[in-house]
Amino acid sequence: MNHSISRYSRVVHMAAMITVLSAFAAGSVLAAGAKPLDPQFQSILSYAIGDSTYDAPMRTMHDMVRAAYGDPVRELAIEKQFVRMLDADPSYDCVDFICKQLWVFGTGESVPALAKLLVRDAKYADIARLALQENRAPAAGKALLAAMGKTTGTQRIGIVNSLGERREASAVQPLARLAKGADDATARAVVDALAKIGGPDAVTALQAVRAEGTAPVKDAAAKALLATAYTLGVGGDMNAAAAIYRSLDTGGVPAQVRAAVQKQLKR
Amino acid sequence: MKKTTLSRRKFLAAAAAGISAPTIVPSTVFGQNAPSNRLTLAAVGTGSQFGYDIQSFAGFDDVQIVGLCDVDRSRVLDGKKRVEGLYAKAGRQSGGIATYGDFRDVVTRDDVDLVSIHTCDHWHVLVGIAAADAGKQIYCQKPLSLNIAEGRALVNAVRRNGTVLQVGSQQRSDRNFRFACELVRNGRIGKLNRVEVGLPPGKSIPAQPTMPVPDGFDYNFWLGPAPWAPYTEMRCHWNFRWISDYAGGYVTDWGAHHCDIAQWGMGTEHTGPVAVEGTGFYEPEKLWDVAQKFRFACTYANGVVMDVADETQIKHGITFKGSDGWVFVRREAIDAEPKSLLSEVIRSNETRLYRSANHYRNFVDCAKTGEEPAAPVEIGHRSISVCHLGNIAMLLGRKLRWNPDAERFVDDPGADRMLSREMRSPWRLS
Repeated sequence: MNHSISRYSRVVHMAAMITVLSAFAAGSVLAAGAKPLDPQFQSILSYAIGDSTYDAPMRTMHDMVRAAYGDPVRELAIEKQFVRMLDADPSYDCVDFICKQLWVFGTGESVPALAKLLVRDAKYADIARLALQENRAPAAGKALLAAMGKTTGTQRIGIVNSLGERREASAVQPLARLAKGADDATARAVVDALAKIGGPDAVTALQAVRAEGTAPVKDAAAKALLATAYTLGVGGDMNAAAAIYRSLDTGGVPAQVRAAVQKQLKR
Repeated sequence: MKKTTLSRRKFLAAAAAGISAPTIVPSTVFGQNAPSNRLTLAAVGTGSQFGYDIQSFAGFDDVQIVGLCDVDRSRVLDGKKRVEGLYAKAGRQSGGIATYGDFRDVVTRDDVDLVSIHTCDHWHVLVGIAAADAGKQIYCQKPLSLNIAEGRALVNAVRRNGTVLQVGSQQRSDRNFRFACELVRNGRIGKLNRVEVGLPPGKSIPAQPTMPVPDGFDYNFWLGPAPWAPYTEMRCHWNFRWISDYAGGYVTDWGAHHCDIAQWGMGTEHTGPVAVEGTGFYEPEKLWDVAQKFRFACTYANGVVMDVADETQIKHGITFKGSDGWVFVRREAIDAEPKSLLSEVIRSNETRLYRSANHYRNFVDCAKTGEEPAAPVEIGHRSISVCHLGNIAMLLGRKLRWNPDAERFVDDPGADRMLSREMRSPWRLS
């Protein structure tokens, strides 16, 4: 029994040493190109959800972040530390924490580091989008658009979704091009994004998809056009809304979309 | 034969499209609740809340439960047994109850009329939009949304498709709550000055170890649009409500009920406050990271303040305070000062609020007629928006000004960010 305790202690001690050395190594790497991380940031690079040894340092971090809310200078100082952390290849759980904070106050400062995550893999792209989607810096939209051209599958679908949520007008033409050659799942994401972005160019692109897409994508485009028209109507542009509704009041449109269109036209 | 040419399903489709929707449905349309004329219902999410709700739906002769869906196989099978048991007890045939793991497979079934949603909060809107886009009539448990942008997206989906959505705010179908609101609306307590809302406090839990995902539980699907996180038992099912990735704690869980009544009494159910501020106690480093103790104040355009807090600070329930008295209401309790208010009669020429004696029955009836139910989607969205605003203000720790028309904060782009959040791919609002 004593032996096993002793062995356990050694393992724990070695693990702690490895953690310290890893942190030191990360700091050393950073030292070549940037200021080293402050200790409290350094201490959570290997953060693992569910590991209670991180309770205290994570509490410190959360308290520091919350105290900075609304103070652009302090927020930016923290953001810069987060960028250095991201450059040090932290654990996924640490990235998750960082992105949840940057969702609230990230600026263009963190976009380059987050852009790398967008193209890393689907899991990292998802959490990076949490930080980028609501970031109003133009660089955030550009990073998403650039990543759309470098990714595939669900990773790319997520990026398309974020471009739609941002109402990224500059993405309309790239999205329209993507819809033409994409698989159905991606094309359906594209039409939903175009519907959110809205505007005459997006409507034209949606009508083109409706004319040329596969059957499931045509149906999705019709649904997206219904959503676009509804948004236009709510915004007061009844003529533009009615024009779209009339274009959908025809055969070949999914029954539910047509039923909805007829109700809207009666208003 | 001509009398039967308008089938039940065609009638519903017409009602949904706003075409010839009579208030009273002739019996020739629905027959004698024959099986072929019953409305068919599919339930998504078969956990504890499903257990409450489904008892009512199973008790209606004009509703037939035909599909159940849950990402946890054991739960959906338990749900099926429960429904079969309810039907057996009532001497009815259960017919075929199909089970599903993916809600998209059941809400798009052509032969399903009604969809009831009892999932975790972070799924309410996605399932609701899918059901609305499929033309279904929807019963959706509260809280309606995880954030304000989601809620607005669901409102839009319901409206553009012309469907009916009843939010599971069943206090709207309770006589005491309605009467309390009518007393306030009709000036029985004088000029309304203040509303106090007391909710249960949150909970704490130590760090939880990562665990293997149980067999039959599609954990990745359960997470769905939420950020990826390692599985641990205390993250899922009932406990989701204490974790900000999936819910807003009791602020939204019970706040959806009581803030809804507060807005009903104030007559602000189609708008919201113009300012909100508050403080909360959190343990953000732990698994359950929502506010445990909380207090926030919502100021409305007319100057009335709604003070919301955990029940260690404000008595559980809703208290309307006016210049001439007060009214307190919670489930199975109503009180007032002066006491004579409790025997007041609301006259026919006064403001009389929506009458519903049974929330589930009201939903089924409105699904047939296309009429507005007791707790429609817009009102449910506005009610839960108050709770979301409180959570945002407490998290940011600053006073926020709110434009309820634009549904944006005033000159606070940082706070605006928290009105929505990204979804894990491939999930998205549409």
